Amino acid sequence: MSMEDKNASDESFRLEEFFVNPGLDVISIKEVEDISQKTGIPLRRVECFALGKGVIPIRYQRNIGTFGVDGQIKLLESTVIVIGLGGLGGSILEQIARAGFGTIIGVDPDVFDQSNLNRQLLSTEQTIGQEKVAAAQRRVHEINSAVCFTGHVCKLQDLPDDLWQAADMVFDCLDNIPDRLILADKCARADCPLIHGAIAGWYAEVGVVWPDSKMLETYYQGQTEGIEKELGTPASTAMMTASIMAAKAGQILAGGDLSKESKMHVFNLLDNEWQIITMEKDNHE
Amino acid sequence: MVVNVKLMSLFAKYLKDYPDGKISLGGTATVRTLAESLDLPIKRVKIITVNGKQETLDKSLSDGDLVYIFPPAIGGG
Repeated sequence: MSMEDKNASDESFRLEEFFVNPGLDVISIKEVEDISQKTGIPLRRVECFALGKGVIPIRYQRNIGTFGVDGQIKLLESTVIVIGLGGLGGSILEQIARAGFGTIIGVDPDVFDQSNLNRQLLSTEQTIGQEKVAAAQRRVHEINSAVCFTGHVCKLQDLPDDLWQAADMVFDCLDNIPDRLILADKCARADCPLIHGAIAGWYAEVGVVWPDSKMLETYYQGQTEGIEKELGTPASTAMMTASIMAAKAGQILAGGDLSKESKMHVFNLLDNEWQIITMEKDNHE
Repeated sequence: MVVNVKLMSLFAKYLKDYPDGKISLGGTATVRTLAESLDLPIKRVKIITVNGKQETLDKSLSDGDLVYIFPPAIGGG
């Protein structure tokens, strides 16, 4: 038996006594905290054990019909990286913390300024001048203390290599094409799927990028400038795009979408139009 | 031939004279021919689909094709 298996087995043995009541079908935040405190086992793992016994943490009750019990366990066991904690990243963070994505790594080198207030969920008049990562850490803890959040105040290029290897999914919430392509390359090397999002006015795109697809490279066709400087970045488009990104990630991580197809969803809220471009791996090579 | 054209977002203005999006093209035509006929800024025309598949400016068109041209969006919000 490996050390990891032995630890899991010890954990199960210690948790078992709290779940002997056959009538128990839900468990509150307070009860999870009590068990965690008595056993020294992290909240997230207590929740996973409970779910495995068919006991639903009440905080996830309204998730189960969508993700299923097994899906919820997979979300809790997942590790994701959010690159950029602005309009897209902040809204994604809000959703995935509530959904119970178990380990979240947030990355952003910047502080909030007043021009962020129109759309960035983590920005308030009180957080102007503060690091986006610090606001993210606070918000995740307020929403779901079972989630393990680690923040990195740096550019994606400066993240340690082992973090990429640990990730099950990465969110691309960046604001320029060169960095987006660097990120796609890092994800491809780590064999990790990437959820890409970009917005301009009422117009936006969400890409599901599988590691061997070279999708962003193919899609952008050498372009380096976008149209968002002309059209702005309103809250409605940012939050809807973030919602689609979080939904696609949840579907994949919970095991509900096994297609592994790289696709770009392009939509325009002004014309009520939504196009899906299926990317072929060898397109234009 | 007649092709159906949709121009997304900032490019939509180049289709204002064709409310039904149907463009007649003579002889052999490519996406480039189409883009030039609409006075689209060729250097910015990169993301193109024909019948749902991503293509380039050199893609030959056929009667009834559905052509989308997308401007790039890169804002992270």
